[in-house]
Amino acid sequence: MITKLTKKQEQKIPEYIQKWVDLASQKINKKKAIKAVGDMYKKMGEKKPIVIIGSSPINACLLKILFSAFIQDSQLYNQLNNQLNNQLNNQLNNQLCSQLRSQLDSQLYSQLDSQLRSQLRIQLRISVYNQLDSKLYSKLYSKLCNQLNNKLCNQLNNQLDSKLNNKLCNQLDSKLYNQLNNQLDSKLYSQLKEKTQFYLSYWWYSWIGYYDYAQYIGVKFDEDKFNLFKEFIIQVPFIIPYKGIAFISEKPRILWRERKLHSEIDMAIKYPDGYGLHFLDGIYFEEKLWEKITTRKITAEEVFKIENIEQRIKAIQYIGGKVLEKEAGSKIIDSHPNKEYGQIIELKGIKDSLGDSYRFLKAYDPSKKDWVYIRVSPDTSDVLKAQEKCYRLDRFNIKYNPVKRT
Amino acid sequence: MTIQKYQGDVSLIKIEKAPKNIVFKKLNKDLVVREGEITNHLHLLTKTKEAEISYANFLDEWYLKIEKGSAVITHPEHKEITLDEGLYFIGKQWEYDEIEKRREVQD
Repeated sequence: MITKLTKKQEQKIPEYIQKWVDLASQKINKKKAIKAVGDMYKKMGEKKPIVIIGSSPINACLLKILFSAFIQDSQLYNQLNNQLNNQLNNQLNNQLCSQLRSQLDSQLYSQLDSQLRSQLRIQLRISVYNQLDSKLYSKLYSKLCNQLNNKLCNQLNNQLDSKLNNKLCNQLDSKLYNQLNNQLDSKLYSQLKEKTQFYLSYWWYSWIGYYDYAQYIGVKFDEDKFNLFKEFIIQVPFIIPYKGIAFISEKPRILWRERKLHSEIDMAIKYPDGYGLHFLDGIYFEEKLWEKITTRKITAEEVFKIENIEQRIKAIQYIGGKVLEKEAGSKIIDSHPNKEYGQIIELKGIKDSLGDSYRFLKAYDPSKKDWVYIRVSPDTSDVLKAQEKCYRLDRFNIKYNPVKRT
Repeated sequence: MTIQKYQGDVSLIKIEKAPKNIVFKKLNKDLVVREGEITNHLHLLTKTKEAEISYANFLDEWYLKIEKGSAVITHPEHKEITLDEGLYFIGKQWEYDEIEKRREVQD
């Protein structure tokens, strides 16, 4: 049982965090990726699949769509599948992949029509890949991860486990899980959910980062399982299991600032084919809005009319609240003696569709250490009443009187 | 005095009684009280060991009954808030909209 860390081991924690953060954007090794998929399928009791590598999750999805359209004839599919032997697989993969990709890049984005989509929906009813996907999950989670976790728990003292959890896992979690995996997963889900089911393995990075460190300090794992788990997570960041084929994706280049996805000059998450996502301090922006903010070509009206409050706050931080308020003809309607409760401001230069000037409750957010602007009705002229309206305290017939704001 | 705590756009109000038609269920695992649309950050309620808690969803807001022990609400950007025994309403923040008159804050 390991009960405490040496000084040297403790000093290594940031290195391991950085190692896994870096691995999240390190290019996949195609040979290793194909092997990792094959090994995982073997572990699942499935035949080795053909592995087709897309340059991004969207690209992998399009390849899968195209492929499923080609092979919707099951007889043709069986014939094709039977003919594929291991020797041919790689060549076929490469040829297919590069040919399809060039076709896709030049044609499919513009020509992917409703016909293909409707064919896809029919294909989606076939449950084979549903089973594969859930099998993949249960294999990773219940078999590999739990077993590795048990080994870890048996060998690490509880106190040390929780210390490492705080120092290592939480940091990996905040960066790789909260930021990268969740952001990417939700955006991909919104774009791909109707088209295909996919599996994003960034979810596992904080786990494997922890196990990797645990191995360094002397925890013994079942080497085969550990390596299978590690290799799969490193080499297969995104997978669409489909019949005997696994469509996987290259990794993106990722830009961070203070542990948050961030870039003012390019996409913070960018795949080799140009697909990616823009972020400012961890807040996602669509490209046009991101460009307007980062080039400071956005008007006060556009900023104050941003519907999402996190994006609005971030845009205000970028341009500057005072500058924007001045441009919008801001007038203070009410100020509360407790500055944190805020002010009611009216923006005379910004009208809504009924012709009323926009009014905001400008309140201090202790977590952001900055002002947030919450839109209130044009007849609101009292800070406390505005707070009560915002949280709908009238339902309980109570006045705004917080004992804690965080 | 009603105890009011606020974690960003989430309100935690200690109340005397819940509406009659509310049906409570036993809380066995963590409860996602609210999720940021853009950040995906969760306001996550976790019960402490051996706590006895039941909950009810009401139009995307929550009633929470802590009969024994306590619960903690965490969020990556905010300090955690502990809730002791009692009945709580966990609500969200709303903004004015001239068409809908009121819409929940989108974060």
